[in-house]
Amino acid sequence: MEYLPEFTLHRPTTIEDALAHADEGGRYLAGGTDLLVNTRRGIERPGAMVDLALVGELGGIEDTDKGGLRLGAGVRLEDIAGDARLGARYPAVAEAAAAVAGPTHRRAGTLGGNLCLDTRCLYYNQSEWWRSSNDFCLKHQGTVCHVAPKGSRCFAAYSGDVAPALLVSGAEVEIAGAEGRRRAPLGELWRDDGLDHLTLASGDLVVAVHLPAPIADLASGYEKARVRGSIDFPLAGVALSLALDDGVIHHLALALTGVNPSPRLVTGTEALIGNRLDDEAILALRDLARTQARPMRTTTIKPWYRRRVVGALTTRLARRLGA
Amino acid sequence: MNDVSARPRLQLAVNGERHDIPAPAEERLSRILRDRLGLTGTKVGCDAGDCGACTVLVDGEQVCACLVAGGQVVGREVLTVEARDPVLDRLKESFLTRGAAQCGICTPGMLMAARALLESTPAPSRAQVEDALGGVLCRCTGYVKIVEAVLEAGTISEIPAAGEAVGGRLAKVDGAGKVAGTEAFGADRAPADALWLRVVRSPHDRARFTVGDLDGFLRAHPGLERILSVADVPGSNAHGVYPDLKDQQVLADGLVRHRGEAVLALVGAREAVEAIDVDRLPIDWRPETPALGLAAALAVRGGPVHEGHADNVLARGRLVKGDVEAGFAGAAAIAEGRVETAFVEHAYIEPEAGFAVRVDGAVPEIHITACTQSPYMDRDSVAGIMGLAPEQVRIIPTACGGGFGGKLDLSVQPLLAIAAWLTGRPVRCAWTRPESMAASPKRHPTRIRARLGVDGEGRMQAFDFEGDFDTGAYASWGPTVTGRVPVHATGPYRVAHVRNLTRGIYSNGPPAGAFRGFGVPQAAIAQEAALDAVAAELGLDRLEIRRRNALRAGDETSSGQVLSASCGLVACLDALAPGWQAMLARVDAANAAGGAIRHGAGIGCMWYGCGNTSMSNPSIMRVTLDAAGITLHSGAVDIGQGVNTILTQIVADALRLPAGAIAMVTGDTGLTADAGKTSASRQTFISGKAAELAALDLRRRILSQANAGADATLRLDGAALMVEEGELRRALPLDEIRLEGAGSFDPPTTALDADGQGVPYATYGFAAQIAEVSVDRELGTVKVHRIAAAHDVGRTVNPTQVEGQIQGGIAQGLGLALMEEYLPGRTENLHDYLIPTVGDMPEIEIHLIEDPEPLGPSGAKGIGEPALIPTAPAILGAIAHAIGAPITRVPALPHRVLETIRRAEQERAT
Repeated sequence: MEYLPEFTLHRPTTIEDALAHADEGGRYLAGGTDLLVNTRRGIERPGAMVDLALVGELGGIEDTDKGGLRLGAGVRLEDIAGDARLGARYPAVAEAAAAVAGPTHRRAGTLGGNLCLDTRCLYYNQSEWWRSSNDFCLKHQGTVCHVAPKGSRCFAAYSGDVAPALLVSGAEVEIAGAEGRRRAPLGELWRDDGLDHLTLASGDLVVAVHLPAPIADLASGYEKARVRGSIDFPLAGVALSLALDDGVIHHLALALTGVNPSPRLVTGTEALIGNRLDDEAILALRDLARTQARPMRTTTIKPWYRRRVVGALTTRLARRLGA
Repeated sequence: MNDVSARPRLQLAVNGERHDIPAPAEERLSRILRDRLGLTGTKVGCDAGDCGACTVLVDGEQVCACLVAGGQVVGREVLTVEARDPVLDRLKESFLTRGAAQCGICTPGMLMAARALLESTPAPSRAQVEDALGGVLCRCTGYVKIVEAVLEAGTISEIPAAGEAVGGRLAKVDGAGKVAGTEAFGADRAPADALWLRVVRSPHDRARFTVGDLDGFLRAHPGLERILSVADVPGSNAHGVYPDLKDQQVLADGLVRHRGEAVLALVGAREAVEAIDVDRLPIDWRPETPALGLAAALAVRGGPVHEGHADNVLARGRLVKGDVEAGFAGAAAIAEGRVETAFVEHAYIEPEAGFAVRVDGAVPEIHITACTQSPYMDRDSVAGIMGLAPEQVRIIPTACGGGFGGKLDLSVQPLLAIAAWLTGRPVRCAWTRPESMAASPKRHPTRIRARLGVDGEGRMQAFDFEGDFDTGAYASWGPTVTGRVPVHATGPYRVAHVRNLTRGIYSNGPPAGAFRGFGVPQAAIAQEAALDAVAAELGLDRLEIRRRNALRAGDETSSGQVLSASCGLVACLDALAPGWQAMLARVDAANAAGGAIRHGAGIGCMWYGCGNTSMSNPSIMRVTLDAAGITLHSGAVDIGQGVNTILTQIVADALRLPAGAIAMVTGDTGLTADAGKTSASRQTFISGKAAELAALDLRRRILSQANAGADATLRLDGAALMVEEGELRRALPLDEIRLEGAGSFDPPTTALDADGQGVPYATYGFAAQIAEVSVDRELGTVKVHRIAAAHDVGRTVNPTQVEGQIQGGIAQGLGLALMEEYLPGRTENLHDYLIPTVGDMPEIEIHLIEDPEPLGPSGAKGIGEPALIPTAPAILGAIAHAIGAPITRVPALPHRVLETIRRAEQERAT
């Protein structure tokens, strides 16, 4: 199917109405840069879509009383990239938003949409006739993962740029659902399963992301590897936040994207707290990144390359932020 | 609650007008604009948000109209290229006069993206412009003139005086419609009652199949009028580009040989045809083992692809001169260049589209309106498929949204013709992007080895070349590639002892055909790498070794042809020499600082025969003077490269009238004579010469009619042509006069003998390019910073257009070198198949060398393919310079660059 099937479009103005439409089976539609393309490919076949553009509560970047920020899930990536407060307090977040795709995608795409981006794979993001000739794949309509045929897991890669930057910034996610509102550490939004990488219950809606006040001397950044100067998804992406006290690490957080089925906050970094940010520490950090990246044959670029550049990007970021 | 779904109509504000449209809220904006409002200036290139051709403004901001549902823009202002808007008008003028529009298919999207920027940032920086245009892809221009047009919105077009059009920057004569968005491309117009046609394609690389009960399927699907199968092909189901080699099926007859091959065609109401789930069609597939890639094809994996070719070898090319073994025996240094290349997709932004109408008269005719590069060839091929006389087939080319060789082969034409013929109704069709990529021909993947021996001074003594070209499931232009490459394989150099061997190999890949350069760009990569390697061995400068070997007037080529004139390679190299030295110095200085980023400089040279290899390829032109004024009737198709403008300039000067006095009728096989194909860099040289001769002939007739001498002045004065000479002033009233000048030109060539010796081309273009790159040794990524290009074009007919060809050729050469790799099925979209964006382009400096070609119009020769050929060798040479080892598999994607670096480090360590 390369033609957009018919669906009903709802345009609610409140979160309650949006939830009601979703409860009837509607899919949330934000910028549409992922969902509409997948729908055309027959990967998604929603009978109804719930356009979130008119829901006022989803907009806006606001200061919170404790020096933090609330980012509405409907805020466009372009506005995140250009926000002066984010640029000053959480540069990784602004850098990551600016690194998404091209300008038209950043104007259409939203924070919530980027966080909920479907996982991607060479065997999944394809036309229907091609997938059908492969008997489809584990992620959709099929029974075999062509990337790891002997396994029973899906390794489609999560490729959002903004998630790792928010993860290293201590973000929390605010979710509206049938049970009301709840807040949770952002990392709990995903699970490590390419088939079903979001922990959201049916009808749940990401409403906002909350960032705490930054600690003193916090530096952060985001780097991605891609072939072209714009448009491309990350072959690998790395976000790092770092605070040094006279050359000694007293805060460190590292997160990866594009190399696992979900964005991943790298574990084990706490062992480096209290060390100087020297070559040895940077090498240790690099190895943590490499060992926790598990890229598979989900892109035309080979997995070993993506694992290697995760390390290179980590080293580069640590040098940049530590300088 | 604001629930649009409850309302069957949409209220939209488009270009300041309010519309009440009977469309569902989920219908995409691109389709509403094009199909409901007739605003076809908004183009559809991919329908997936990857190409940006459909960029429009919503409340002043750019969006991809294919990613927006109509219901989402209710209450907002939509602006399209058709809008009357002062900022947009200024941009359109600037795009037109600066040559920012070539084929014009991306132009509306580019204009709208630029309009959004200038609204918020009236005086943007280059970086701001590049960022704003970063979501819109262009395949023709290399973006350079587009960025300039946005940066310096204003006019630089010259209106040349009578007799001085050649050499001037005349704006594109057919450009106004391109920037206005009114030019009709293949998908833009069709009769209102046209049925829709959708092709059902093989999902398998190789398979046998049987088709079940189509009648039952048809009855079960109201709105579907007909399902075409091979039984419906009225004439021959076999077609191809050569008279004696027709191996391709219109619709597969029980056996498919590549993924994407046409099997059935669904014809009916558009909604009905689009709603059909093709998986439910009664087709029983029995997949077979495919031969994918050269190794599998040469091993005849799964059996021969075609009967009669047991070894899968379709064609061989051969050129032998002197005694190559003796040449190597006497060489002071010997080096090798090797390369493997991938399928490369043309990726024109306009997918194939058109419509056909059956015209019933005394003799019934079929009229096909579609994008094409070769109307007369289409006509004859369709006639064979339809079982009709060629005169019963009329081909009316639309504007062509990029071709580059990919629209030389038949695409939508035969199935449209059959459907319209059988149903008696007009039928239209537009391929989707994945369909275009799966079904259209590609650049040949290759495996090439070039071995070069030189004497102590670096003079080439012996050259030995073996190249295999994967031509995919069907011949397409494969034999042209295997024939052209041996002539060019030595590069533009003098070599006494040569052996160049090529093979075209059938496989179950997509058909590989014509793509800007017919195999020469791939061959040049290996050949130039060998030259670099031998220069390194001798410690010679890479420009200097090329200069020592460069072909000069009076030299004999490897095919034994003595070049008598127009050999500007030495002049090209001399023009680049100061920049080359500065580049080397800059690279050394940058590398002295150390770090992960390594810099490198590279150089590539090329030559390219203009026109078809060793065969007659004439062009016929007519210029008329009648009530309509002066009209050039040209069958040469302008696919964006600008031949309409070039011919106008040539004709204007030959008539000694201003260019504005010349009108044109183009392309239509019912109205123009055969000018041959738009390919092989032949239109400026061959059709240009024919047009010059036709215009001179008309001028002679006019002067004779007026009894005036050869130096008389012509002037169009309202309804009369004034002929003035001294005291003589004669008015020829246009409505009383009918004069016609005719011109024909066929470049003199000879057949090649069994050793490839002879005169394959009447003239050659020459060029050299240098490239400066940096390589990130940790990420394997390559950034091309600068390219300087020197091209001998004989005579520059229009500098703006020649520059545009070179800049666009460099963009495609950069793609070939760094990122473009078509993997059947996996990169069949513009997201996974990477073509350069505006951000990937280097700074480009151009030197135009004019070593006139005596046979050409005003001395001119071709530039289309020469523009691309030296780019990849220069970039790959620069990468090798930066990392100390050659890349042997292109494109040089980051993992291949890292692999090469790692291997080189291991070799140095052992």
